[in-house]
Parts: sequence; structure tokens; C-alpha cells
Amino acid sequence: MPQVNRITILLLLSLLFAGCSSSWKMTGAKYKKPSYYFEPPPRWMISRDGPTALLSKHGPSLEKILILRQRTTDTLNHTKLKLYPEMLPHELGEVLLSRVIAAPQVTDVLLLKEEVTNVDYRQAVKLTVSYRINAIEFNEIIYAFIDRVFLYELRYCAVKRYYYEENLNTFETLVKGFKLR
Amino acid sequence: MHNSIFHSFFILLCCYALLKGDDMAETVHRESIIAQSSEFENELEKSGLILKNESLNAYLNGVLNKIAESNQFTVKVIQSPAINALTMANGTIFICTGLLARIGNEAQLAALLGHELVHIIRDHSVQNLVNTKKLALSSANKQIGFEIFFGSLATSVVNYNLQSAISGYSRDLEREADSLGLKKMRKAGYARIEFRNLFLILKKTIELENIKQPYFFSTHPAITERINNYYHLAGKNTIQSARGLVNSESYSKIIQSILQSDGNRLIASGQLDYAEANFSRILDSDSGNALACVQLGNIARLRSAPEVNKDAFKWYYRAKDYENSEDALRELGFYYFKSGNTDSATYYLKAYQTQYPLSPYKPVVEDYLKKCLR
Repeated sequence: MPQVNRITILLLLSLLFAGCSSSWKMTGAKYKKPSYYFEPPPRWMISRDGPTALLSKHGPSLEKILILRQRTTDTLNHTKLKLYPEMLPHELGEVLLSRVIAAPQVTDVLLLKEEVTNVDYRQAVKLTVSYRINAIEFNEIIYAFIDRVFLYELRYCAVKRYYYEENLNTFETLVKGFKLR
Repeated sequence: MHNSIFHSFFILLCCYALLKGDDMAETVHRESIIAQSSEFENELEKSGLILKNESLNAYLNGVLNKIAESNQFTVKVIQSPAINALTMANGTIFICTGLLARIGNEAQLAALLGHELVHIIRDHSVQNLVNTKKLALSSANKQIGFEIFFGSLATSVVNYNLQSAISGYSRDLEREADSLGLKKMRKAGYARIEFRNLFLILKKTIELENIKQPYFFSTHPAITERINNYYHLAGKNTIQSARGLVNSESYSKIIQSILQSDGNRLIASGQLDYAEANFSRILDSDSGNALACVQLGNIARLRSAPEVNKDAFKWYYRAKDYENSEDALRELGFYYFKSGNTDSATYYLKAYQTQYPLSPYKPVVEDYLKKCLR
């Protein structure tokens, strides 16, 4: 019985320490994944989960860069609207803006600019939006394009005051260096 | 980080409640519940979720004062698609925009407010805590705003989905609220049948959206039982019950901005049938509403995507001659661009570009125009 107790305590402790360990890593090396490549900004923290990369300098609640890849057939968060491979840029922009509008904690969504642009020589849409979460103002830029059956998104979201402007160029540099493999 | 602290705090609170549940429930004072309600209200105000629409607020409070025969109670609107209403022990009733958009007329609004008002007047929050002392404290906490500690305010409001509108209190308290609410509604001159109709709307919503009826308490009457209770209270003579004020048109006009914002959000979330109902209601009271026409066109287009939809074109075409036809011109341009008709696309996109030079869509329109001219 004491043996069982010791094992239980060890298991609980290992679970506790596993929970405390962070998935965040300091950037410094080029980030390689089978599907895409980008150069993380120096001194930013990065967290990876499958095809998703989350980067932040001061903490994700202040500013974050998200790089996402998902199948066009997969369901988007907060909306039942569908993606399809031959979408025009404004149609893709409409669906991605809808996802922001439909997010439950988001209010006062305003589209500031919608542009047709290129990411890694592929036609993409670029949305600039502002919104509030619990009365705090945020700005977000979303670059998105569909390559074959995958939607790629490069998103930069930051508190409007101070943080948004401070890291804007960093994000744009990251987008310029983004490549599909 | 805050969430973890609150979660830990709540787990400790639950453990304590399980051990000391009886004592705790009985020692919760009315003043404490009112203080917590006011705190919750302040948090909601700070969150920016409370709708600032003076004419709508004046109208809603006018109906409430008429039912209450007093002006000591307040009704406020939460910007949330949830089909929900919350009653606070401090005398404030919150209605979500999603529920306001589903309500069909002023009499149904009066039915809802009358019902919620009884919960305040009869101190149901306090009674609930005392009556439910043997039930889990977590259920009781939902009545007094503890949900605020989990996730964002908006999430907690959404999580309340349908709860307090139809199942916020125990069976006996809900019956009392139905019975007295119906009397108040009748005294104010409204058609009693709309009380039943309100529940029929909620029932239809539950069925269409496949929502599992949420109950705080296993003893709570299901919505069908509430409808049957109505017949028990008001009788089955529907002709007699239909006598009285209904005010459908004035209600639809006053909630037009709600129908619009709720409809926009429904389109964004892909709930196209409900969005269609909202914009059709706007057109019923304002046939020249360009925005409603464009949104009905968008609904048709999104339903048939990726195929081009002729019904969508008809709506856009109809909207282009009305006031505020900005979106109609742009959508017509996009429609023709997608169809490969570059001449017509150029015509409408140029018209849009000229008339609305500061539009956020200007860069996309310019890009498409370049492609049309190639």
C-alpha cells in the first residue's frame, strides 16, 4: 500500500511539473516545417502546435503573430460559412471577416482596408480590421490565400495602443519572407 | 492566469459548499445578492457589451414601466446573439439582442418583461438559494453572477443561452412568474395569447437549432409544459385571449437596428435562415431599405457558393436605386466580375469607386478594375 501511495505521488508530481513546463521557446533559428518556412523575428517567443505557429514578444494578450494552415474543407471557428479552392480574394476576405464578426467576445468590428496582394507569389487577400474585446481596442491584419486545398493565414493582432504600431514592420518583414515548401 | 486563479477559487468554493452547502445557502443575504448583481451589472457596463441606443432603451423601459406600474426597474440590452434574458435581484433586466430579434411584437416583449419582473418583485433569487439548499451550489451561483469569473463576459452571456428566459428558476417559481406575469400583461392591456406565442417561438428555435433544453434544476418544467400551463392559466379560448394590444409594426420599426446588427452577425456565423428572417422583417416595415436587400442578396449568394446566383443579382439590382446603395454597387460589380462580364463589372465598380472614394474596399475594387481592363 505505501508503495502504491509513493507511485501515485510521483505520478501526480510528474503531472504537476509537466503542466508547469512551458511550450514557449525563444526564437533565434530559422523555423522549418514541412509545409511552410518563415524567419521568426529575433527575441520573440514561439509556440508550435502542428501546422500552427504562435509568436509573441510581450505576451499574446498584447501582441501576437499567428501562422495557420488548414484544409478548406475543415470548419472555421465561429462560422458555418464555407471555403472553396477557387474563391476570389474578396470572397475569401468576406469569410475571414465573418469569422471575426461572429467571435462571441468581439464587438465593434470595423473593416479598415481590404486589399488584393501577394504572399510568396500567390494571390492573397489582406484585411485590416479593428475591434474591441472587453472594451479594449485591438487592430488585426490578416493575410490569407488558398493553395490547392489548404488555407494559409498570417495574422498579426495587437492592442491598438502602442503595441500595434511597434511591431507592424516586424510582421510585414515576416510576411515577405514567408514561403511554401 | 486570472482564469486559473478563479478556477482554483471556484473549485475550493465548490468543495466548501459541498461540505457546508446548507449553511451557506441560508446565510446568503438579500443585500449580498443585490450587491453581487450590481457588481455584475458594472462589469457588463465596462465590457462595452451594453447597447447604447437611447430611443430603443426609452421604448423598452416604457413597456416595462407600463407592466410594472412603476419606474423603479430598468431594462438594458446586451449585444449578444444569444436568445436570452437575465434578471438581476437589483431590479435590472437584461435582454440579449438575439432574443429581441426573435420576439415578434410588443405584446410578446411585455410577456417576457412581465415574467422577468415577477422574479424580481417576488425575490425569487433569494428564494431560489434557500429552496435549493440541497442542490449543488454551482447551480445557484449561476443566478447571482458567479459565471462572470469564467472566460470573458461575452462567453458567459452566451453560455446562458436560453437559460433564464425559459428555465432560470425552479418549477414553482417559474409557474408563479408565468401566472403573475400573465396577469400583469393583461392588466397593461396586451393580448394574452402572445404570452403563448413567445414560448412557441422559443420552442421552434430550440427544435431548429437542436438545442438541448438547458435546466438548472431537474424539476424544471420543459417548454411544452410551460405552453400547457398557459392554457391552464388563460383558458383555451384563443379568440378571447387575442383581444388586446399587439403592436407588431411599431415593435418592428423600433428594433430595426437590432434586426440589422443581429442579422449581420447571423450571416457572419453562417445562420442564413435566421438572418433571412431578420432582413425580411426589415423589408416588411421599410421596403426601400437598401442594406436589407443587399444582405438578402448576400444570403442567396452564400447559399449557392461557389456558383453564381441570379436571385442574389436581383436583390442587388433592386437595392442599387435606393438610398445608401454603396454595397449594392460594389456587389453588382463583384457579381459581374465573377461571371466574367468585364464591361458590366467595370461600369459598377467605377460607379462605386467614384461615389465612395473612402471605402475600405477601394484597393480591391481598383485591383479588379485593372484586371477588367486587361
